[in-house]
Amino acid sequence: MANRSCHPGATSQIGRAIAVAALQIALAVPATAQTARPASPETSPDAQGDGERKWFVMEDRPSLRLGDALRLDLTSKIGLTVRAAPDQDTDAEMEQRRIGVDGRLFDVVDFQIERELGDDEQPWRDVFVELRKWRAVRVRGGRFKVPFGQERLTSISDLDFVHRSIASEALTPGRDTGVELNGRILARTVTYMAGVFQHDGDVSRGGTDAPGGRTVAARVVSTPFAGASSRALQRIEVGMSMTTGDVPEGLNGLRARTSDQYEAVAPVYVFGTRLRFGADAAFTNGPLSVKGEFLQTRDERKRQGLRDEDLPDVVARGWYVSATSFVLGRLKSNGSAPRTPLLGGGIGAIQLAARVESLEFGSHAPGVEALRNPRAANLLPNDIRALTAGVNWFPVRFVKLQLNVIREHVEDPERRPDPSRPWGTTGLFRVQFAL
Amino acid sequence: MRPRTPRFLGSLIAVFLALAALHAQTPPAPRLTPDDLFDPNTVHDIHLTVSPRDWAELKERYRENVYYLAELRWRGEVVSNIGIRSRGRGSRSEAKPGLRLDFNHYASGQQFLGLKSIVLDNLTQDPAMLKERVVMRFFTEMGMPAPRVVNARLYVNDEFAGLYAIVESIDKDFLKRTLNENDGYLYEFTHTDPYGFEYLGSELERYAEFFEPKTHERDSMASLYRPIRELAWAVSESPDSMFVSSTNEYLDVRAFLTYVAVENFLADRDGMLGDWGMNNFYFYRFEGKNVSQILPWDKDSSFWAVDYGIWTNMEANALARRALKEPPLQRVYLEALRRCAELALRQPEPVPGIARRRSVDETPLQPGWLEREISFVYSQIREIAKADEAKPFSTERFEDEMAKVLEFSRARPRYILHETEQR
Repeated sequence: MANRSCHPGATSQIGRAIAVAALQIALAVPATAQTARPASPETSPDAQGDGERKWFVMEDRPSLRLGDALRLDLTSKIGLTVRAAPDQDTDAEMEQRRIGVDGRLFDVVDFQIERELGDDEQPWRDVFVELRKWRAVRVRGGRFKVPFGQERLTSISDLDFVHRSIASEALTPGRDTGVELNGRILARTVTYMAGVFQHDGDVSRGGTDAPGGRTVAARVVSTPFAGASSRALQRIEVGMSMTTGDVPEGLNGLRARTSDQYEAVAPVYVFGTRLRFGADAAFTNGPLSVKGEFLQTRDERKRQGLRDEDLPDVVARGWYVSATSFVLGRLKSNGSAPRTPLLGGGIGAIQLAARVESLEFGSHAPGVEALRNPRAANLLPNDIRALTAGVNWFPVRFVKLQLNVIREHVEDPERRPDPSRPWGTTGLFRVQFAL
Repeated sequence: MRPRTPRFLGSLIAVFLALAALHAQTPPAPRLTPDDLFDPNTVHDIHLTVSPRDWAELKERYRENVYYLAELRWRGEVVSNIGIRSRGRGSRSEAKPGLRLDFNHYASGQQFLGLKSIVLDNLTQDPAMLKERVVMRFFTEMGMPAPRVVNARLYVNDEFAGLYAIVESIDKDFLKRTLNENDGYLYEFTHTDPYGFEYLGSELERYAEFFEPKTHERDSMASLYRPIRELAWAVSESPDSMFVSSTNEYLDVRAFLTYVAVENFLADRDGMLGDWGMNNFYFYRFEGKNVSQILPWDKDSSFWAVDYGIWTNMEANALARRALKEPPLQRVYLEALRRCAELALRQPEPVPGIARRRSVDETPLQPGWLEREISFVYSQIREIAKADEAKPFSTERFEDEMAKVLEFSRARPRYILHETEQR
């Protein structure tokens, strides 16, 4: 039932990725040196032009300018992850090789184009345009992340861990093509996002890989104590998300994989409506940050029984709580670089991270024998629980190194990578360059 | 008038007590066993309940090994939560899928009558629709382990899906039944290129291409394939003086030649000495030993021709070629062929007072065992085969092939006896 995904050719990609990374570092070092100096970009030796109108600026990233009419920031993200587990070959994979452009037109239209190199199936990541005339109402159209799940909406290069939580990976929709309204209201204490999307996202495909139907999604994030006198309270952020849409008939239930890519939860037959709900909270104070999220997905199973009968909904629930703390050095307020970089007299910034998480799949059919088959009225529940401990090192701007050790438990012995081992251990190491 | 109620109540109680006593004396229904499922004296009715969409998808994706949920009903026994999938190589069919039923696919440990799986052969490659059954019975009568095969009417969602054969899976249950052990190494021979036990070099991966492990799948390559490589070396590379002894260490050459004799007697074009190299067998290495046993599988291509030569394709197989250069082993082969002919001609057990059996050199009084077996199966399946609209050939073709098989059963023993007497 279960299988282990692999990444053929990943090792052969490493050479090319290192070349791209070297190019990035070549670009990054002058920029790092530049940040060590208080010079403004406009007077930087990298700036080229006639003094009044610069057409190339090297700030956080290379930027092309056409007066006030157009700004084009070049972006790039490269992530190499090495995975090691007992009794398995160590596996290296280029998880990210992205290039892109962030732009702004006449200070009214934002746009973003990002492409994953080496992904032949779906190379485009974000490709959207956003009308940003008013802060309270902005309109975005194109391909971008469906607004569901705090962690899913965080770029992988900004995650506190090498990978997202198992629940986020399994239950959130990812990117799709659609239209969204978003904005900040009530004195900027509430941010909202609401959109209609063609399908159900590109990461929530089931066994047949058939896309879901039209999906409506909404998310609200609030800082409920923004007016409080305590700065700690002011930084508490809570969010709620939901999606609803049609899920096509077939083996299209959601799946879940462990950190070593073992499919511990295989798709089941579904048909009807998929309803998601999410709640999250985050708190940051000084070097400490705490985040938590609860996610639930409910899929209908109309006429999916052996004799065409309706089956009880399949329900997946997951949560995580994570905490990080800088123990050495800090990042700058915009989070882009360490305050004392490795090449600037310090060693960068070092952060410790820990996460506890759980994901459970099942259905509610009292009095019916719980079974593993994908048309079972009472699906035999399967829980995945995991503990992650990690260290993040930010030596210089653009560069992050992460080390995670994950202890995972799959409840059902028959759906474990190794049935004889209740707990599995995986080590992940990631080197990331993000421009 | 006396009230009648007490008498009525008394009668009621008496009847109740009598029924209770009768119930207490009725023995419980005997528990069904695999012997019941493989009872050759009846054509079984197998009922499968499958989601109509799954059944349509299984037919559409008949070339893939995708499992679908099903429920099986047979003689009042119901087993739910089983996995079924399309099976076969050349016999795969969209209109009439061959099926593998895995009782433990969704629930490890689940069995049906003590079996983990069975095969429903769609009989699409055999217009006579009985070769598999008769050949496996022939192997058994020759004292060689072979899967049991019986016929069945298959109903899917209560609709007749055709005439099938229930074939016993070659698995640990089969090994236990036939060899009284099952913890050795079982392989299915996978035909990729023509191969005949030649030495392919020291790399074990070369042998893994042909022998797919069905037990001990996670063992090391050395544990799985070193003995097979050594067998191939003994067959191809050992000096003449050591050929028999070194090969016997890994495969009983006499048993191999007997196996080949049965296949050749039955004119199997797609077996050990098939036209395209070795095919259609399992290979079992005994527990804690190097020696292995060959187990027959998929005999739809038998009964090819009455005059199918007894030396057909011998030169193409390294083991057969070399073994038959040894006069004692050649005699083993010819003797095995003669025993096949004797079995085919074997007369029914004599009834007291009736003329005793004649020798095989004389015209038998009654049809021989092979002809009787074929006629018996034919009588069982004839009407069902005619009603099978999913079979990929006409009823006329079925009848023609049946006549050919019957003719084979009558003429083949004489041909073999004649050929072997020439030696």
